[in-house]
Amino acid sequence: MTTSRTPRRRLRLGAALLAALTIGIALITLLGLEPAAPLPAALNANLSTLSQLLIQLVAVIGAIALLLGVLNLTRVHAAQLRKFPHGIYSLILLITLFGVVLLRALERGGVLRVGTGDAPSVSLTVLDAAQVAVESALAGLLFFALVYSAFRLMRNRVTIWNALFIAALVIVLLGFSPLGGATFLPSVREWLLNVPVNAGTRGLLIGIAIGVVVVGVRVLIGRDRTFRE
Amino acid sequence: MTPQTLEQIGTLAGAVLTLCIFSYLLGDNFLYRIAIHIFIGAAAGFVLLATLESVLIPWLRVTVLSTPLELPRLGIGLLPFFFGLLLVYKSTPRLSRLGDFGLVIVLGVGTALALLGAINGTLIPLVGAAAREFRPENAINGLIGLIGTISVLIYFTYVGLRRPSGEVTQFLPVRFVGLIGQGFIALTLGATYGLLILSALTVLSSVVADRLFILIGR
Amino acid sequence: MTERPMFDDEDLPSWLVEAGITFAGRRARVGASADAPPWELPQRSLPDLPPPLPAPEEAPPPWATADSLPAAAAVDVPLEEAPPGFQTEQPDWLLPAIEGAETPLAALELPDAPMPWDADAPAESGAPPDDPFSDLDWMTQSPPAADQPASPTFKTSWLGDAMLPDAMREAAESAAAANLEAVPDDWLSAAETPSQQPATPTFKTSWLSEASPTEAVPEADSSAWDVDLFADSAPAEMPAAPLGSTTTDDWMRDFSVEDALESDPDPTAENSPTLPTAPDLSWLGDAAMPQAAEPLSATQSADWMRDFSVEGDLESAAPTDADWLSKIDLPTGEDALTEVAAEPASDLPDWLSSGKVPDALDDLPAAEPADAMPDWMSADSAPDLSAELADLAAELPNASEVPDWLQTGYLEPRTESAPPPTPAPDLSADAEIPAWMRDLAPAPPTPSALTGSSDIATSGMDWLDQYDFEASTAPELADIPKPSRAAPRSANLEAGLEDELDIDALLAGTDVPIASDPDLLPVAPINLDEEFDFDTLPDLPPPSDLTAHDIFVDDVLPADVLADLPPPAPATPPVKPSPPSAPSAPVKATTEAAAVSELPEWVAEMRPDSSPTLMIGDQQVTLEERPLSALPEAILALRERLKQLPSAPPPAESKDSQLSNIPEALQPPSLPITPAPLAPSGALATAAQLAGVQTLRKIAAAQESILKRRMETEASAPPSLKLRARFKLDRLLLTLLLVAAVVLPFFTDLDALVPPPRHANLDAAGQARFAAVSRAVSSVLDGSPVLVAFEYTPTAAGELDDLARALLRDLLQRGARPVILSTNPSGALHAYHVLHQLSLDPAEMQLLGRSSPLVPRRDYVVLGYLPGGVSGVRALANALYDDSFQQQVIFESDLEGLPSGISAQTMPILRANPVFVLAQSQDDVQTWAEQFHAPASAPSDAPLRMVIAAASAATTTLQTYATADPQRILGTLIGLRDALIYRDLRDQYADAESQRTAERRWQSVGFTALSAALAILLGAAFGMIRILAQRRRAQ
Repeated sequence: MTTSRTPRRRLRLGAALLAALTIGIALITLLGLEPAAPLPAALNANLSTLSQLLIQLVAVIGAIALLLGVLNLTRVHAAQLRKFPHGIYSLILLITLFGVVLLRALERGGVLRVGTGDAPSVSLTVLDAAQVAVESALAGLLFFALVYSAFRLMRNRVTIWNALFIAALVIVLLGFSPLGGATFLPSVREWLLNVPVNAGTRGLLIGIAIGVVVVGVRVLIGRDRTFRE
Repeated sequence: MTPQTLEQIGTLAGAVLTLCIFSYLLGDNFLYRIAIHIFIGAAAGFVLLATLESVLIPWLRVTVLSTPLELPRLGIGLLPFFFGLLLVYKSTPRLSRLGDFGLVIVLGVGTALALLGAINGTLIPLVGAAAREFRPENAINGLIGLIGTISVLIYFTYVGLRRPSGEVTQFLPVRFVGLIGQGFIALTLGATYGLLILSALTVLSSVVADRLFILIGR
Repeated sequence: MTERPMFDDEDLPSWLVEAGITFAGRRARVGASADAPPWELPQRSLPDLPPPLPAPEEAPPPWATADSLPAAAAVDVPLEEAPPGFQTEQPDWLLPAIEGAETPLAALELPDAPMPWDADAPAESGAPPDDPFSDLDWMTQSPPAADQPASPTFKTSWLGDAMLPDAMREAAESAAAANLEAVPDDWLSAAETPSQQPATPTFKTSWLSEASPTEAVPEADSSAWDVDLFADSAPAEMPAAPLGSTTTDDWMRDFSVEDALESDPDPTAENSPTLPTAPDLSWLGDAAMPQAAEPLSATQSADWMRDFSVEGDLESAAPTDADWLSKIDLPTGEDALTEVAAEPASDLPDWLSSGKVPDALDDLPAAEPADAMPDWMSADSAPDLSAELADLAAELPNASEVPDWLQTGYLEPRTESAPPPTPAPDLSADAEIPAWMRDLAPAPPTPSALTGSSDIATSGMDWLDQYDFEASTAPELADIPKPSRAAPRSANLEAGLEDELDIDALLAGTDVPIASDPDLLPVAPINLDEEFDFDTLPDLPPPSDLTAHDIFVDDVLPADVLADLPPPAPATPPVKPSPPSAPSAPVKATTEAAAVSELPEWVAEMRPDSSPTLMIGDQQVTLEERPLSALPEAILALRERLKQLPSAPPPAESKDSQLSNIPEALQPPSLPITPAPLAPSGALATAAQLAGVQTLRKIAAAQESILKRRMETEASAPPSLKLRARFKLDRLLLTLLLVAAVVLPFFTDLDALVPPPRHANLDAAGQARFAAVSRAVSSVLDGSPVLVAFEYTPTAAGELDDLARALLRDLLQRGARPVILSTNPSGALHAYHVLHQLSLDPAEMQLLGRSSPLVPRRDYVVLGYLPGGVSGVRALANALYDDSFQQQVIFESDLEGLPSGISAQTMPILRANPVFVLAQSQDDVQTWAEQFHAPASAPSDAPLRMVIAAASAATTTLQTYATADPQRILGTLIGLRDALIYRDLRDQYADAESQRTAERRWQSVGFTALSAALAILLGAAFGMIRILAQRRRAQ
């Protein structure tokens, strides 16, 4: 039996402080959401209030992070304005971005109003045209890629697992609609989805949950590598 | 401009952009890129607007700008901005360590929430469901379901035996059950893949019907 | 005089011990006669040496007593330069003997057999040379056997050890004390090197074994003498050997007879000469007569010098009684000293009788240039020793003068410093220590010569200055000059040498050189009474011209004698006798020392870098290397082969090793450390795994080659081909097929092929699902707000918009007020847009039974998006139960930042109504299923419920959670099919056209799904056929 000696890392004060803060906040949130019975009620109440505050703070921090992402996007594309031809696309992007903001500002100011409703119709129309349409189209393109990938699945290697994969795929697709009124395939499809697929999905979700628990416990005991690197 | 006109303009623009996106089937081209950049720009703008209008301004109004000014509220109101500012330093090589303090609260709260959710929302219900699966009226399906659940869990077991040759192998029963679990996983992934294809197909059909047929008057 | 070990036996090789170099060895060998002085013991017959050259008459040997030698100049013994280890107090026997008392040296009896170096030494008619080493029994070893190499090499490793001041110190501290008998004033044992001396002397005395008398004597420097051979020797233990003893020469003979030593492989350790301590010079102390002691006669003094190949000058100047040393009775303690001092002064050289060392060998008369002048005796400038040696005896003030070679500087590390001034011997202050003994401490290097022109005390070891004993490597043995035979020899000595000196071993394997080498300058007899300048000894010819007989032979033995010499017995191959040069000044032996690497450290240290010079009293003799021709052919061949081999770099000497700072130390072999190949602990690849690895490598290589070929092809291909390469036929066909399948149902009627979904066609489970959703929707109170979570982005709008509209229609038809929220800003905006579009559609409004469009913040509320994802959902769940500012943050304003109109009183209603979640992906479903829980403080009978409508992609996860927690997840709706069914169930089609449109979409999806499935099956079939064909081809 070989023994591997992991080199001992030097304990850094910053990492220790970070770990301590993380563990403390996590414990407060946990105890606030799931009060421990041995603790006094007042403490549990305070912990509950504190945990809710922390959760709300995290939510707002998420919004700020999203804002920072948008600002970074603007900065990056602004820096690419001088490049050609990427600069043209960045220009279009920036024009669209600031145009949407401008439109919204005008709409809020009452300058740009279409219709009598209170809804920001212009912004929503631009949203629908620029974002929804494009995103939908992109999702539609995904169909072709998925089918083509499944079409080429068996080209390189044929295994039992590939065969099972293809079989389930085909059953799901064929059983989506009762072809010619035949309900055999839809029944098989329903059984496939309800029994074996359901069992497999359950096993996967349980495994994922166990992994999440393990990671969470590691964070709580300070063994996470987030702040060690 | 009437709302109908605006709608028509919007629909037309959407159709054009849809076609630009579909041009990708022929290969990457400038139309596709233009459409993509328009989409990104618009999306970024709307995100910016939504964040500012619906989150940050109300937050400040409730905390920092509330009257009368209360120091606890003021501190609470500025805390997310403080942490957000720390997050900015994550992008700098020198001060990235400072940005870690901005992630402290996110990591701590997220860990707690993930832990609670995994236990209360997934482990307990699903394990109970797996146990309830095997019912007398549904013996075969229940048995299949139970076997499937257990075999999938065993498939992800990374416990093995080190042979004298140094090779690590699983125990034979574990390997056999893991093979069964691998079959269930193959079926699950295949079905999921098929359902994903259906989703994409549904979207495609909607796009074709709602966006493109307008161009041909249908 | 009791025996005392000269060297620690354990430091000597066994063969030396067995040779009787130590007392123990001698005792073991001699047995009953162990008590006899070594020079009295039966000596081994050495090869017959030619009669020694006549000793110079002008220069008496330094050991010549005042009586025997003419008045010689007082040798200035720089007592101040005595090593600090040397006690200022001298043992009695080393003190200048009581006037008239017989010097101990007189008791020394040199062996009668001629010494090897006597071969070329001029015959001395005087007393046999004093043999300071007569007590060394190893000298009396039997001659080498016939099968021994012709040129025996004498290994004086014992000298090297003996010359280590460190060893001396150690020995003084440990073993020496144990080996030595109680000596009250064991100044020798407590000898220490002077402070200026390096810690690790590198005096190498292998020249003693291979010194050629024909080579010039290197410039000796008394201070360069590294270690006192006899520093740790208890004087009392050394038996006094009568002067002129025939055994005296034996030890000197054995200096150059390796085979002689080797033939007697059992030198007792007790008498091993490899003591790291200075040998016992007590016998010399005995011979260190007080000042009143007469110096030895020229003949007598010349003997021991002749033993060192001192030219005949010395011999003529000093008594040629070679056995004078053997006659020296080495007492212990003061008595011994006194006894020695009481020796007849005539029997002792002056330096021995007076207890003083001649000032320098420079004071000795220069030896007459003789063809048999040993190199080590001669200086670089080939000084004329004859005159100096002749004056030596006269210059020697008294018998207390000790030759430099016996001084401490002889065996002590030399320094590169300038020769210190020669201090006058302070006999009064150091009355107990003869000056010459005092000067055995390393004296500063001074140019000295056997001619005695320099201060003996300071230049006695001068010749050692040329060698850098601190060098990392020892000087090449070849660089060590052969001792020159400048010492004059007396006729008696010669006779004695002829009779008793077994030079067979010495001459084994040697070629008799032509003594009439023009380079072999005759060496004048050394006058030990005067300063002998060994520097004036003639230079010896390069050893290439010399043969194995060079050592003590070439310069000494006349041609006719040499011709009579038997062929030398084969002996072990000597060290490469590269020609040493007689240094005129202390020569840095660093570079030369680096060449010598084969010798043991203690031997290497004894070697001078170039021509080693041996200080014999005030005479300086130079040894020279043995020539290559003396080696046997096999060894020569090996040597040639080794030359051809690439020389390995000298091993890096570790500073921390015990052998650090010791040049010529046998460095430990540098073992190449090859790190073991990294392998997983305990994991060894099997043959199958290795084959797999090879296969992977081949695949990777093949892929790389393919990619490279493609790049080259594309780069070189014309643009048309490049464009064509972008299109893949199968992909194009498949795309066209699918597009056609999507589009075709809109232009044809495929109801027969793909019938629209109906609720009636559902199975019980399916119908149950719809019933549950309907119940959930029906549970929403009229006019009550109901949360609707638009958890999908515009990416899934094509699939979930139908579901969303269906639910919203149903809710709006119920009079509910949807409160739209989303964890995604795009989802919230899209929800806003969906409701806005819904409100703009009159048909929809009609379907809803509304006459006016929907008004935001009145008919519906689109709340601001919930940032944070998981934390947003958890915050929503908490806000529904907790009356905190969290409610204020979430529900106070809508997506536009305007007041939503939702107050805290609305919270219970919102909690009561199920949340309708429209989820796009499995993650969204999981997030809501895990996080949308009532807090622990909430009553358990009122959980938060939800209806999840998800896209087809989230079907499996949704069904799993729904079946796992049916109390929280009331119902599920999945994809377009359920939306159509629900619309049909709820009759939400405004008109037939809308229904038709919806059904066409369903047909499109269904038909395209069928087409996709067939295409996938076709591709799978093609793939399997292709692989089977490949396998068949491979077989």
